[in-house]
Amino acid sequence: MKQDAIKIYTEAEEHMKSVLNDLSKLSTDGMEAMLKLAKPVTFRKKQIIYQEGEIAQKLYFIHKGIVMAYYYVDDKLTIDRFIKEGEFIGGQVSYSTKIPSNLTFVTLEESVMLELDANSFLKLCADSHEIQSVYSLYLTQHFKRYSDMIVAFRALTAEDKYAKFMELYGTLVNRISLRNIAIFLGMKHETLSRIRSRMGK
Amino acid sequence: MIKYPNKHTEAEAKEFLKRFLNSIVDVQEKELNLLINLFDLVTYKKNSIIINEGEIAEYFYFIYKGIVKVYFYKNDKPVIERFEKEGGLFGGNFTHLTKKPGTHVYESIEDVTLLRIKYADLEALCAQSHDIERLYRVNMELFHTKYVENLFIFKSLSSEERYHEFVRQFGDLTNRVSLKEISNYLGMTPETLSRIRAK
Repeated sequence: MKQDAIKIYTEAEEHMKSVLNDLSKLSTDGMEAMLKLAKPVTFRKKQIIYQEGEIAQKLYFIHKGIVMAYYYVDDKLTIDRFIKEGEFIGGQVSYSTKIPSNLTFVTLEESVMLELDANSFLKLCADSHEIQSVYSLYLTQHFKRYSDMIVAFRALTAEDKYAKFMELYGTLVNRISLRNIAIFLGMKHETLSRIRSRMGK
Repeated sequence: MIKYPNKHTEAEAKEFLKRFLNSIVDVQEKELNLLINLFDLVTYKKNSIIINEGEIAEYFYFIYKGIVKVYFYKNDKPVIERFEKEGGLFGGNFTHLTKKPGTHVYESIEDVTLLRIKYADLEALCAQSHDIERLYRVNMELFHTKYVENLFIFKSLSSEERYHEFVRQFGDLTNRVSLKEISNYLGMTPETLSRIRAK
């Protein structure tokens, strides 16, 4: 059991290393400084990582698992997005802006993550230009994906929305409940089922 | 578009930009000046397209005077995504990174005076100056937070509440933006908006 735990944590570190290196090749020192901040943690299924109204104290890199960001509108669940393996979460960058997030973040599966203390990370960004650059690059790409998604969902028909969902989250389709997919897409469960059967799932 | 001939206005606009940036993060004067010097002043008449759909933006803009609306087309109808006013920033929705034609149109709805910087210059300075890169990053974080919050407001409030939120955020814009444009942005018919305003 202990061996397994060590193995998965080593994998998590390797995973984060490859995500960072894909963005921009970091120096050995830079990479080591990042890994030094990262502490492996596991979350149970349906565990809340950030609560609405909270200012995040930690950042997480998702090695295994899926996180859902949501809020309630008049008691109705509204899903902002799903966050996949290989991505970071930080409570809507509240750890840096100090503006509380409107969203709650919850795991949909048992998850393995690397936890980074937000203040230590911000200090590292202040000390290392290289880390700050890679972080800016990550943020820019993330925001771009996010705004593309919003535009797509406002402009598309139900079928096209589902196709866009498959493009963004296709690899996760069997791991997210149909109910949650329907809520995310803002359509009725029946509409989603109809589209799925028409498109051959 | 005309390049602004009045050096006096350019100096004032740059002073305004400096104050704006300094209110976000403290940056050393020397570093900040490197950035400010890369900007130049341009003006556009009302109803000019500054960045068009299908373009790859070459410049990033800061608004000194005026209002810009940002929209895209859905089934040939414009959908207004946001307004930017004095102190606002816009830059073509990351087309400078993707090199793919943009989906948004950026159009002035008043005569506007803008400061603009070439993306290539901004990126080169970010690579060179840690301070400027930090400024860029924090700005992006704040922008994104506002973007998500507006989306949240859009999804979570009734039409009436959305209008009041618009007035709270953009109070000074309500007389500068047409009813048609406000109702488009809020996703309601002009009639619904008039009814709400009459109350």
